[in-house]
Amino acid sequence: MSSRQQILERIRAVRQNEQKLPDELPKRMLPLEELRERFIVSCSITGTGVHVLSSMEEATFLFMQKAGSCSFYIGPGLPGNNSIEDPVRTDYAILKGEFGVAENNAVWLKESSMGDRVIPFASLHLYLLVSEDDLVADMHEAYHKDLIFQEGFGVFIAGPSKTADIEQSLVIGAHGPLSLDILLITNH
Amino acid sequence: MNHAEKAERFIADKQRTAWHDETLWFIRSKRDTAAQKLPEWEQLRNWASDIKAHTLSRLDVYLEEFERNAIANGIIVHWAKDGEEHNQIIEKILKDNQCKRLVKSKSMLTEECHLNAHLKTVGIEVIDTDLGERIVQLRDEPPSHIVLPAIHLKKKDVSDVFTEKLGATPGNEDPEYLTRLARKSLREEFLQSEVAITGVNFAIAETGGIVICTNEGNADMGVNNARVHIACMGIEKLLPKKEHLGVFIRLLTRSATGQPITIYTSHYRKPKPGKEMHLVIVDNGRTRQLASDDFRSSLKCIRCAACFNTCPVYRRSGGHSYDAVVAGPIGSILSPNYDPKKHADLPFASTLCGSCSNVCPVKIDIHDQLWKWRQTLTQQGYTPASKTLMMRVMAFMLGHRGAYAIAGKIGRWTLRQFPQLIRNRWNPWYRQREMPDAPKESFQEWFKKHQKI
Amino acid sequence: MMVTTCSFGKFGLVKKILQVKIALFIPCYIDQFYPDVAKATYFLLKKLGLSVDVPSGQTCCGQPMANSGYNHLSASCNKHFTGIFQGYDFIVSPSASCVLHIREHLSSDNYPDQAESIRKQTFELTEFMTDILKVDQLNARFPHRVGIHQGCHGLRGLHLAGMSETMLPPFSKPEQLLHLVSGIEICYPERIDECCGFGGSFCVFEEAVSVSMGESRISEHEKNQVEFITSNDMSCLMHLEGILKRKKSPVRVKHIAEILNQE
Repeated sequence: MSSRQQILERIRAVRQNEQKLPDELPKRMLPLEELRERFIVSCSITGTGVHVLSSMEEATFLFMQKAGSCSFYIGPGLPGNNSIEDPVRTDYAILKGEFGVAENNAVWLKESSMGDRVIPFASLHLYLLVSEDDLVADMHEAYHKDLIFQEGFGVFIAGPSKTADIEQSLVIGAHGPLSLDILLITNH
Repeated sequence: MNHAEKAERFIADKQRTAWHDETLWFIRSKRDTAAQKLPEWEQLRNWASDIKAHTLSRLDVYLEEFERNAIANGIIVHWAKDGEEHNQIIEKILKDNQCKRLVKSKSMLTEECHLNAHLKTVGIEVIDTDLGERIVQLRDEPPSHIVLPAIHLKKKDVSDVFTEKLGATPGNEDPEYLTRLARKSLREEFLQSEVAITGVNFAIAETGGIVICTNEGNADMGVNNARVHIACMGIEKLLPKKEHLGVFIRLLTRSATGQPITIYTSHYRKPKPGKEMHLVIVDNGRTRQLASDDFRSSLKCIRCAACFNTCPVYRRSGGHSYDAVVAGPIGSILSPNYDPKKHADLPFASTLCGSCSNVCPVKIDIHDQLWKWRQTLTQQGYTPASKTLMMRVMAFMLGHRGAYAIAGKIGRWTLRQFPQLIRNRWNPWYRQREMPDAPKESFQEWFKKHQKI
Repeated sequence: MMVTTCSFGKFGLVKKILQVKIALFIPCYIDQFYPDVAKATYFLLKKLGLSVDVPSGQTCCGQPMANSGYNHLSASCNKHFTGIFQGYDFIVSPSASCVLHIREHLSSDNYPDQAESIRKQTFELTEFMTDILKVDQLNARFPHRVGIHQGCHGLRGLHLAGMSETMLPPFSKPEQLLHLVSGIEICYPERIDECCGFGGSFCVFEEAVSVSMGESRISEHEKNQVEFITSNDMSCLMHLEGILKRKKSPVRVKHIAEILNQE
């Protein structure tokens, strides 16, 4: 018998009565109002910069200014051309986020907006673009989106990479980006 | 050496113990603050507990559903009945890919299977990439905490080992400097490594995908640079649907560190075109735990370590005193399942205060299971004969009123007349504590004389 | 049983209470080492207008064996306990830990039904006073600064108060009673409900950790400049007292019954 069969057999041999799943989970638990304010507060806690801007063009302009003469990468779906060939050595990257979560500042990034899966982790400074219209209240609402698990890879990013493994001293910039900025596009 | 002896050694360094205790208590406080912000906190715990209990009650069904979907996604699925098979599967994948050196992010399962040690014997080197794990790896010691692997160390210890192994400037103890140094050295490993191993936080049956949570970004740096991704998971990591993640992601980090979410919550469903993704599903004693009515619910654990941080014994004895892959209260109920003889002391390394069960986000009755393990291990004969004898005498005395009255009288009389018989250094109570006074009359003796009052 | 139909007010309902059979259970270590705590409990209940039996020959709840992994050896203890305490409406005890053990683990092959009802009828002193007697005034005076030690078994086992880990509304049965004592000043240590480290046989088998835990409780109470540490669990206090005396601290311990009974 294969290990697979053995394991499944062992589980079946001790099968208990079915324990009930909770009734349908709520689609949202936090109130919808003031999503933008909540989101901005959440960002401040994780050390994420927030820039409220009025258009995508304004956002990429700001990004180009920040990048200056460093190598940069502009993700699919955003205006502009990137400056490098090796994405792993990117200094600055800007990517389009699908939606943001107000309770924890997480932004959902889908694979097709990354260009390369490694970009959001390897770049030194990461900029994520999110529309104010695409904010949700909490993770319940987030996980009701079809976008989750739609592609081969997707990730919630909720700040610059960090660690406190040395005597619990917080250090921003562990293995991922040293900084994260969110460019929040308003609708008015 | 048992837990008590190792704990005594740890405590001997009073300053370090105080720091360890206070630091972990601070994390427990951060957890409280995060939980207080959610009025639905207790509701979330109930849901999490129910979802896990349901999944365990239909684990075979969900494993098959998960496997089916994962295969359809292009993932290669392996099954391992124990740690040895797990290691062999990985060794074979590595050999097929001519891999001699690889990166691995945090996975308690690979620790449990002693993967690194096994691969070393066949000439393959594993580089742990979580900073805390890298530190303890360079020191050639195991992690002392499942979320904070190097919490037993001070920055001087880190500086020392980085000076020796990574060429750090001697005496520079700045955490930022040391972190950057590790970043630089590990980035080279990420770029060169053809294979990356990760753990799995959650596996979703309906999508055949997995979720990995990290703050450092090391798992994703490894996986997305490598050609081959091997993810290792215990059979209990399953959740039926992706919507269930809403509950667990909200609970996991709030319980672990007080953060609302980890920096990276990565959802891997398919390998990148042209690359390989393997999944190793491991039993290694879990089905034995599943069979036990008393201990089944320990499989609900999501490895947040909230029970470590709240445990007054863990905070004062350090993770290494447990001498187990998973320390702390949850480790004390998981470990005896693997090796009851070796870990027979762990269920006794607790005052049964119950704080662990209260912080547990999936509501495992940890302290009740500690009590039950005490019974199980005693009945299986894993407790010292001297203790058994003592308990037999005590049980007789307390079960017979005459024996009790006489023993009490003699005991108190001895304590008054020959205190040095009891107040001596062989009496562990007396080493750092005074004995209570011994009154001439017990309450019952007094009551007999005065019952008319 | 009539108990459920009675609503026990404060003193107006003494008559009804008189019909109820109440037994006092004094755990072994209190009987032997702290007879004053037992006396205070006895007189406190008398002061509340109750007639209380002290069944003779009582010994122990069986917890010392059970918590050490030898529950299977506590049969004779259980049989003895069940034999002595059957037939009462309430069994009241000044030790939360022992009460918890009875509630969770008392069983008897000889008297299974009696054991079952004893489990439900055994009450810790303060919960008996707040939940059953509904005491809302008390003739007691204790003009001192008192630190409350919340013993774990009373807190997390019997739910005598809100627990710091859970996000539920706060309450405290022991504190509610202490507020009825005139002149008392109540304070809590910084870590409001951390374990003191007694833990039964843990206190000797894990002596180093046990004492270290006790020392931290004490240092927090000392920071509050308390004169007394009180609790509804004398076993925690016995352990703390041992450490206090060794370090010659001016802080003393007092069981909650002694304070509630102080005039």
